[in-house]
Amino acid sequence: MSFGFRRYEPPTNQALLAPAWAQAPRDLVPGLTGIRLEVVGSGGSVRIHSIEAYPSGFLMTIESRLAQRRLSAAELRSAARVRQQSTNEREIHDRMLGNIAFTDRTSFRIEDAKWPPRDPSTPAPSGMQVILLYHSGGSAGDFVSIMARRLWFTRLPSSGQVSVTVAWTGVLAGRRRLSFNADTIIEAASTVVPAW
Amino acid sequence: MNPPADELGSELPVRVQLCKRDQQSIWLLALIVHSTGFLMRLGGFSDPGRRPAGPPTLDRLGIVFADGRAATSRDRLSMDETPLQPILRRQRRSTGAFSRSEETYWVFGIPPVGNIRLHYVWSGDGSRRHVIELDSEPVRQLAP
Repeated sequence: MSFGFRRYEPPTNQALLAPAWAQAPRDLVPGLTGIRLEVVGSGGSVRIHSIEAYPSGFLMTIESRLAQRRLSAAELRSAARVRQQSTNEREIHDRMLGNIAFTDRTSFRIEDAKWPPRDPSTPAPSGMQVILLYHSGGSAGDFVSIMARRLWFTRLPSSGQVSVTVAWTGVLAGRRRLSFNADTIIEAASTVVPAW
Repeated sequence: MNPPADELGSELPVRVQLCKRDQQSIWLLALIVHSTGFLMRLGGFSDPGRRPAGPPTLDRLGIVFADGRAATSRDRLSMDETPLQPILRRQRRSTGAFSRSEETYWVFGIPPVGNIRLHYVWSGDGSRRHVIELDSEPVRQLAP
């Protein structure tokens, strides 16, 4: 008997297509900003990172990080207990609220970000929109549970400070603020290169 | 086996194309440097309207420090022995429908002075062996 991996075959199904404005260009390598920021509380932290710029908008990841309780050996033997722990963590991650504000007074609630429209012919909205490209959970090791939300902003920001305010009941005390200079994004947007 | 949980890390933009075929390519985008090692963030780019030439991520990756110490993403670790640096582990992989693919590798170990060599294989270009070199100095400077 022999075992082997099946040879890779490209997918033949039609890919999910979204309008071009609702996602980052696939044929350009973005300009990188190097921005990494964090607010830390007693039970976890919130990070902003992987901010990448294109002429048509920018990407940003906002990541909630939750200190995990160590389960006892007895608890780990119970699949139901482990599943319950995972569900509890997911609910705690979902309680993180955020608001991003630009100097032109536009602002967005991060939890209101929508999935891209599934109809490629959906017309582009007149102003900036925030699209949720994916969210993924998991463990960063060392007993930290993470939930990352990858966001696409359909316009470049106005020049000046970008401020992100986060509130996370039971994890962060009060409302916490992170800020960075939007000009870093605007400058990075001019450094994109063709992907192939 | 993971970046220290209490360290944010510093991002070092790299943007080096690792491999390419037709309208598809894989890039090393950035390194995230921590006190005990660094993350390598890769991005797979392709035209969503065309059949891809291969998978959106690398098939194999290895790293060699300037002093000859090496690791691959397929190394097996013994739980009974103290691991020797470097260690290379794939941390995350995502292939979202609405975004490019992402792959993150964790390299446990700060490289010595000299170049870091990355060896890799991608089945999209016929599984050719590739090698690129990166200067370790920016990583060493950012390591706290």
